[in-house]
Amino acid sequence: MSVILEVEDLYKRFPVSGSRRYVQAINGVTFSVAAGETLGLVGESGSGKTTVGRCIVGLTELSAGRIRFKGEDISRPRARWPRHLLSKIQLVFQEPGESLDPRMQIGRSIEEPLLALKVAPSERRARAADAIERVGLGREMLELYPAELSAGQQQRVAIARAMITSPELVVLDEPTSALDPTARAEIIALLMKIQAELGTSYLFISHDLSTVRFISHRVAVMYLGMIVEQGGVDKVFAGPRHPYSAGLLSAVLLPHPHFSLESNIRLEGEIPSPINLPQGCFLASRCPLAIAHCRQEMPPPDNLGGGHIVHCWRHRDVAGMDRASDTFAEFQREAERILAEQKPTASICNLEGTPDG
Amino acid sequence: MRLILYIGRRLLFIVPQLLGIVLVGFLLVKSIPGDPAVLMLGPTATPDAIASLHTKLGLDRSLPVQFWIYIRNLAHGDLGTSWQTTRPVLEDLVQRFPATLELVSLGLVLAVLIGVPLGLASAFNESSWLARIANFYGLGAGSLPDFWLALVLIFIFYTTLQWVPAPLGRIDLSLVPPPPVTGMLTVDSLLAGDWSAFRSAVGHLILPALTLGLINAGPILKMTQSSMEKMLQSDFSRYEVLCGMPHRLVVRHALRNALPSIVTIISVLYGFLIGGAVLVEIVFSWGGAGQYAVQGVLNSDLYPVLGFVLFSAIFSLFVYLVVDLIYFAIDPRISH
Amino acid sequence: MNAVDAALMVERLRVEFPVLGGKPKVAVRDLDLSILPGEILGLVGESGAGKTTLARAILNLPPPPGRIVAGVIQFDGKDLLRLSERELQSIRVRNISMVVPNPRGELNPLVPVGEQLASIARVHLGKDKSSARAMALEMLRAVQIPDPERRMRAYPHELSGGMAQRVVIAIALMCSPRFIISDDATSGLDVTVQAQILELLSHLARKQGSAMLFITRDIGITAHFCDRVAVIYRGEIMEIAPRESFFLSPRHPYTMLLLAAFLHNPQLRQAWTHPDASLRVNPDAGIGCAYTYRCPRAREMCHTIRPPLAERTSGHFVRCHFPLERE
Repeated sequence: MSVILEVEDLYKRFPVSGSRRYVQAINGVTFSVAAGETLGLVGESGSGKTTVGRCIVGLTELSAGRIRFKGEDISRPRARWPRHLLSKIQLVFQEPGESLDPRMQIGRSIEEPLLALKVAPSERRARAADAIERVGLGREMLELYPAELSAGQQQRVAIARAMITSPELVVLDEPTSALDPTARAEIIALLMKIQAELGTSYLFISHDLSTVRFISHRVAVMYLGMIVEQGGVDKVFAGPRHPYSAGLLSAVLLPHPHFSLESNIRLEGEIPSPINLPQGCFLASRCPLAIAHCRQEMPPPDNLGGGHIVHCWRHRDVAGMDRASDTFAEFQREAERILAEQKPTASICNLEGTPDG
Repeated sequence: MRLILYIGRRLLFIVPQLLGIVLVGFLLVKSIPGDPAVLMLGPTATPDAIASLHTKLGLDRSLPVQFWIYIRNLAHGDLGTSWQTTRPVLEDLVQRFPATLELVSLGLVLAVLIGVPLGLASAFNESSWLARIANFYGLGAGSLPDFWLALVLIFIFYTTLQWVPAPLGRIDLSLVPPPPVTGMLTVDSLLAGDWSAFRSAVGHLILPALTLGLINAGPILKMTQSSMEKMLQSDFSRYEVLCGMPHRLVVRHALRNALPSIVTIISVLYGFLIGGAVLVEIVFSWGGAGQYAVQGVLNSDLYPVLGFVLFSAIFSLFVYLVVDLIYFAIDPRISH
Repeated sequence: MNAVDAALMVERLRVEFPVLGGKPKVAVRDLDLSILPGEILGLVGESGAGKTTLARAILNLPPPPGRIVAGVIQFDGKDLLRLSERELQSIRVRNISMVVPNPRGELNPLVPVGEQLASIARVHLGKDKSSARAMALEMLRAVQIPDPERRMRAYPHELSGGMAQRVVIAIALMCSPRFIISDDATSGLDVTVQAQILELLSHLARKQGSAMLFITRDIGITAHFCDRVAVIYRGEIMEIAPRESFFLSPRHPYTMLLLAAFLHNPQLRQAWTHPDASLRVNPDAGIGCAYTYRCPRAREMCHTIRPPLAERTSGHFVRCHFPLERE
């Protein structure tokens, strides 16, 4: 698979107003995304994952490092990108209510990215109609205002808007976090359908691990601006090699009382401030496996093969501490069994005549 | 320590702020139609006399030069001379400004005493008779002209009931005013231990202050009411109710949160009334600074107007500084 | 279960929201619910299902402009909906408390958190100033806030989301109430912080022997922290069962949909979704089963007759005319 996005040694720091200190949001991030694949970027607050997304899309300027799209350097603000690139990389935000102008009909919102490309009005309207149907909504909804739609529908509109320029890479920043579970599942299914049809790559930024696991091919786990572990999603989730990844996974609660992802590795305390980062490994103050060496020196990347990279002095010990089995997959099988036991019968009553909303 | 730095920074900024205000005032006054020299000399003046007066007054120089001269004199404490009163503006203002200050301060105190309790009462129970009276009052106070109310009050309390002395100035004409310390008659007579002067001063002060109080209680009431309502409906107020906190405590906390808005409107009114009380001053022949400034405008008498602008600007800036310090004290979220 | 056994019993509760120029919207519809002493009951629902409305209605504080129009809430031999404001004040946070979401928005921004805690002790437990402060400090320790002495003087906006949530939990647990309502107490928190908070909350509740109504949108949480689990849809309980029975043999189509959504298994999700579901807007008819319009198994009867919440096996209740059969 060809690589379309390369991020090399990305750094970003923000000055703290009223002082000479800096928030070190991104501290040396390197990864790549291939065509047609989804890379999940997971982390909690302060991990820098949103900032990474914004740097890639050109909404935030880098402090250092390189970002390349299909070989072309895009390490600068979006306003200075060549026009042909604007259509290729798009962004979907977390809160659909905030990214859609409440005073604009959704048809106009969907058309908006085409304005920068100087597309003729009639073509814009036609493409907006196609886009809205592709996300499973009706053409007649183009006239509606965002407030008249549910949150799930609003997010579909945001996706339609992102897809209208036929981008090759879409950065999605927590696109489903504000949605209910059922709407969330529908949006994920929609995204995967689009990926299957158009071969779009996704950078899927989220803290919801079970969703990330489902939609991503590969995953990168971030902590305080660094990728502590990355690799194939099944490998990393089944056998995490970084204490933070293990801690993160153990926090996922599966809806089945007999299946637990609880780990022997427990992280203490809260996430420290990204202003005064320690010298050695950032996790050392919270890590149960931390030794003196961890506090002195930042662990270099250790390649475990197959694209699985981890930054930890003691990753072998991490592997040994937990079960090797993939609890998640076991749960999945069991849950599917329970749900498939009873297939719903077909509707006997004809519901076509009921009033439509 | 941070506080002292903050105050110092603010005080430092007052100078350029004042410069800007005086410049704008200067340009505005200069744009008033009318030639001061003509007004001063009367309709029988000859062109030569007018021209020589122009030169004497410096009116033949260019605007920037005139401004520069004014500023230079200002630095020496010379605010110019009023051709109306033929006295230095500084002297006039030192006499008149405290008069306005005294009146406006008492008027504002009365406005707060009337407006805040009524506003609170109507915020608590929106459908009570008190709330309805308060709503009506808030509406009425905003639509009544202050000089009209002044005349009505004079008619009731002086003409009819004879409870207050005649509305002719600040003190009984037959009495000797106390030695001026602050320029405010009530304060000075207290300091001098002169009870008859004090009684007279208060007697004269009551009606005009009451007028200002009744009128300005309106906006204060409205702001208090809406601010309190908003706070009582806020998430944290509801949470306190949810925790079974007694009503008094919920109200007290809500009031503390509503305070900044109320303090803001009081401070804005304070700054406004220094000039805005002019109509009341005229009705009561108060001899205040607003009157003085208005006469200056009508007579193209530049220096009194500018002098007044300067005094009231300093006063307003000072009030805003105090208000910001109050915010500092109330709200821990504000940090510089 | 009768009123004597239950810690709290909700009967036929109905909460309505007035609609401008129309019929009021029913947020909670004839809802029955009982919670045993010391039990943790999980309540799962999506947004708009009426979870928060129910939670606050229990304390007779429906979110405005909602109004409680019918029902009985039995607690300690009294009907909470018929008590005076004064009597309710003495019950709130003392006997029934609530853990609220978005704590930094709900705590008073001008009062330090230690003082907010201490005032609870003074008002409800009659403590004097110094013992109230000592108790507040003790509670901050109990909820594992680091550096509690310093945090006593902190203002809500100075705390992180996780710490503010701990403060709100401290407030809710301070008087060792018999009943705690946890309304979406962990939404918006980081995953690892959420895990800590859940552990803390359930541990303290169990230790105090308090019963808890644990409201959440995340069905996964209930599988590990609750004794019984209930599903709420449009103001009605659709299914309620002991944890094992609930997850190993769910019977309501909506429950199946929620579980399928978690799995992200498209075929299963399609199977449990009505074909036109995403395009349909549910009319608020109030007749028949509330879930009809989304239900892939709906038949004519579902439109006209509201199914009762009926017991299928021991303790497992379903509100459905055609629930799934299990052995």
